[in-house]
Order: sequence, then structure tokens, then C-alpha cells
Amino acid sequence: MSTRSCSVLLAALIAMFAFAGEASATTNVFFAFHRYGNTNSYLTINLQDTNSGAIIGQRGFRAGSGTSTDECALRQGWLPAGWYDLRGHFDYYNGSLIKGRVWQLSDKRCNGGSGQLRSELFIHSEETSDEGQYCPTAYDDPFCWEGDSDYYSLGCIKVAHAQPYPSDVGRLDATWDSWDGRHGYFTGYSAVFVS
Amino acid sequence: MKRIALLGSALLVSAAVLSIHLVTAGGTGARSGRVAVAQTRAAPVGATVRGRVLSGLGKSPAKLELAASAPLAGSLVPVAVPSPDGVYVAYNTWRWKRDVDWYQSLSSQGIQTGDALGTPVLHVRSLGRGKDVALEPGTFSAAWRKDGALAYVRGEQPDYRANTPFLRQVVVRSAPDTAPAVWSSSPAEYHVLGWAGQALIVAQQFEGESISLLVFDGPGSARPLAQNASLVAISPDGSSALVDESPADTDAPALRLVSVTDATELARAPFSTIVDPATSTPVAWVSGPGDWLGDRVVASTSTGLVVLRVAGGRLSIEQVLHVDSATRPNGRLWEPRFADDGRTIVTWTDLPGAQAAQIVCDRFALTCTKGAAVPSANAPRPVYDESGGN
Repeated sequence: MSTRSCSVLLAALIAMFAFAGEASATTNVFFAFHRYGNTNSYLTINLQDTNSGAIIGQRGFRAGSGTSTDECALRQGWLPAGWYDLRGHFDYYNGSLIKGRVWQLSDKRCNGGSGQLRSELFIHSEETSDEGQYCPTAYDDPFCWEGDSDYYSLGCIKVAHAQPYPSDVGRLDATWDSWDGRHGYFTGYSAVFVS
Repeated sequence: MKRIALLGSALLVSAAVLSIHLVTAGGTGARSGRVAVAQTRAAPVGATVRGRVLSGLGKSPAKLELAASAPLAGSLVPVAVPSPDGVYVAYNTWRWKRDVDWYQSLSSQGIQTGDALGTPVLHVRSLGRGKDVALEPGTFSAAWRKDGALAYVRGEQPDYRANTPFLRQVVVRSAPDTAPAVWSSSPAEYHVLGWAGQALIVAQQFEGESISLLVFDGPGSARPLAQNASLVAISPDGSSALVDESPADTDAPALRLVSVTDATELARAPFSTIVDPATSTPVAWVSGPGDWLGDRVVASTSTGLVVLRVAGGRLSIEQVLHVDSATRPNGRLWEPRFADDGRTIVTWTDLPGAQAAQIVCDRFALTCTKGAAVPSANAPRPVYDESGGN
């Protein structure tokens, strides 16, 4: 996507977010995920003035999603396009396969609503529940960021936990804490846009 | 005598050379390559279900009670499954409780976590009499055992609720009109994939859409078959299963042939050895559901299709087909199936604008035809059962 089309998209986002607002009375935080490839997409976290609609802060990170570009493929396709609610944010999430700093997304039916229901998806990295690294083998360990192939996911959005620290997931989390700060389960209304 | 033997040998060699030449020139041999796709207006091939229209199983198309649909399972399982004796077809249906614009967020439509959005119900239709019976609310994902037993999943609650895992049990009826017996010991996100003889192969889905495969030998008796893997196909004799790994789970993903009896790995084909003929690079992924006919398996890849041979406990790559449209976003080829001749492959794909079309390929001639575009809700999905063995 060109810089110009990114700008157009951002303008559309600004217009569409005029109604939302959770971070404070006057600001709103939302994510925008631009799908370019499974391992080289782009995730931004945005701080928006809800009165004017202006984006007053933005951080961007390389991110990945899926192993294929078919959004209807369970366990394989990148995240379907559209708007999502945030279901919560955790610093020390301890799921069986997803751990550490995570943002949980709402369910989404693919292809504009004609296909597979995608569910239980997150923004996360490869780290342990205490935000560390566990790299016991010379192969691909699930809670260890070894390199670019770790941007692949089964459908979630992934950002890096790689040196130099703070890593991308660390900076994303710090930005969230600074701009929004909510933790645990909550509803972030229309807080993620995927294009 | 010696001269006759020499003449015979010469004739044999000539015949062999001639047959090789004919195989190549006539397009009757399998070779890898880029396939040419042409548009056709012909009716869909094979047993298919398109919304409420079931065709290819009887003398004429039948109209189902409800449209076949399985949003919770997608294309992980067939949407309609014929019984081995040809008497019944079990098909998935879905009834929405309210309209949802899935491009928008749920909250913007007043939908909260936990709100009931829809109900899956498995139906069993008698092909001869046309009688259609709805099973319990909350049911989907079926497979028939050779003796007529029907396995499927049944939700702990009948409704899918927004942002809430739809937990279900694996149940088996010895016949469609008998009471179901629960085989799983606790509810989880199961998908029934197929029988392998008397063993039932089930996928269990976890957070992040990770999938592992289990084998149920009976009620309360489950064992692992393959972790972080999904099913491509079950061997016709039910002794083994071909499963695929994800590049997201391992840095050396492969197709694995595993024994259903004890989950041991019998053979392996790394994706790095499946080379696309148009790009000369390995495919990024290989995925099911595919089809196993005789000693050949067809599966979908990141750039088209792959045909493998399974013989003598070995797994070899027979043919890699590049299909341009399969490399585009939302362009993958779904549920490829062999026609009986083993030469024709029938599959389908999504098209832009929430449409879909059947694709029929002659894998020897390296040509395909693409059928008419229809709304995605009426995608021409094949009617099949992955089950194998007696």
C-alpha cells in the first residue's frame, strides 16, 4: 500500500472513530492493522482526540498474521478485514499457547460474513507469562522469539519480542499503558481495524 | 530361438519407448506445471451441495430443508456427508438469531459478549424417500462409520454466543435413529473429521486457533494422534492418516504420515521438498482437507495443488500444480477431490465480491475449467466423507 493510500485509510479511520472514546473523556486509543504479507504487515497504535477526530499520537510496528492470505482459512489465514472490539488486555496472560502481553480480539466471520467464524484471536508475541523468553532448543520454541519466521501465526497478530530492548511488544505495551491503561477484561468498542 | 528372443526384446523396448512418447504427447501422465484455467458454463461436477441444492447423489437434484452451512467448522470438515450405503446424507445447517454485519464490530451493532447469535443443527436426509430429520440443536460436523454409525459434535448449549467458545461433546449414534452416546469425557472445541476403521479422528481447537488431532477408540477413550497438526486425509484402509504442520508452529513444517494405531510417524515430506514448478521455490504451506484415492493424495498448497503417492510406507511427491488464482488473497483452493478416474481433480475457490466457483482440473493435460460465479452462500462444496477402513 502506498503512503497516499495509507493516508486515505487513516483519514477514513479518523472519521469513523468520531463516536468512540474509552481512554479518557477526550481521547480514544485504537489499533490499525494493515495487511501486506504474513510476516511483513504493519500495526499502529493510535491516540485520537475524540472532539476533533485528529490523531495526536501514533506508534507503528512490523507485525505478522497467519501463514496464508486467505482470511477464511482456520488456523492458517491472516486476520479477516473489518472492525473488531477489544475484549481485554493482560500483561501476564498464561494461556496454554499464548502468554505474556496480549490484547484479545472479538470474533469475526471472514469474507464479509460469508465464511468461517474466526475466534479466540489475539495481538501477542512469543514470550513467557512473565514477559521473558524460554528457548530450550535450537529449533522454533513457542515462547521464544528466534527471528522473522516468528511473525507467522495461526491467525493472530504477532509483534516481535526481539533485542534491542524494549522490544516491539514492550514498546506497544508501554504505549498502551501510557495512552489507555486498562487491564483485564473490558470491551474496547471498535478498537481494532484490519485492512 | 535366440533370434526370436532378441526380436521380442527389441519389440518390447520399442513398445516401451512408444508408450512413453504417447503418455507425454497425449497428456496421460502426471507432470508438474502451471495449469491454464478457462471459463466454463457447464454445471458443477460430482456430488455437490450449493446452498439448498444437493446434486450428483441421485437421479436429479434435491432441495434440502435448509441451506447447508457450517460457520463454526468452515472448510475444516465437509458441509454434507453421504452415508457409506448411499441411503442418507448428513448435512450441517445454521440459523442466525439476528442479522450481523461482520465487517463492523459486534459492539457497534449492540451485540455484547455472550449474546446468542446462531444455532447449528445437523440434519439427516434420506436420499430415497426425501425424509429430512433434524438432530439435536447445537450439532454439526459429522462422519459415517462403515457400519452406519454417525459421529458428530453437540454443543453444551445449543447456541453460539458472541466471543464465547462453543464447547461441545463428541457423540456417536449407532444408526441415525438411535440415541446418541457421548464419547468425549469433557466438552471442548472438537471437530469430527472421520473414521479410521473403528477409531474416530477428531480435531481439538485451542486459543489462537491451534489444532491437535485425537483418536477416540470408544466412549471416554481418547489418545493423541498429532499435536499442532491438522488432517489432510485418512487412508482408504483406515490404518494411517496424512497430517499437515503449520509454518507457525515449526521451522521445518512437513506433511506427516502417521499410524492411527499408535501415532508413530511412518513417513514425512517437508514442505521444502514440494517445489512450485512456476516459481521454483518451495510452497509455504500444504493443507487439508484433501482426498486419498488408492495410493494417491491430493491437497491444497499456497500456490495450487500437490498430488502425493503413498506406497510401501513411503511418501513421494508425484505432481505439483501451480494455479495463478490460488496465490491471490482469498484465492486458495478448497477441499480438492479426485474424480473416480484419478486424473480429474474437483475443487472450489472464493472469488472477489463474496462469490465462489467450482474448478475442475485435468491434471495430466494441465488444464482447468472454472465454473460460473455464484454467491458464497451457494459455493459448490463437495459432498464427501474423509472416513476410511471397515
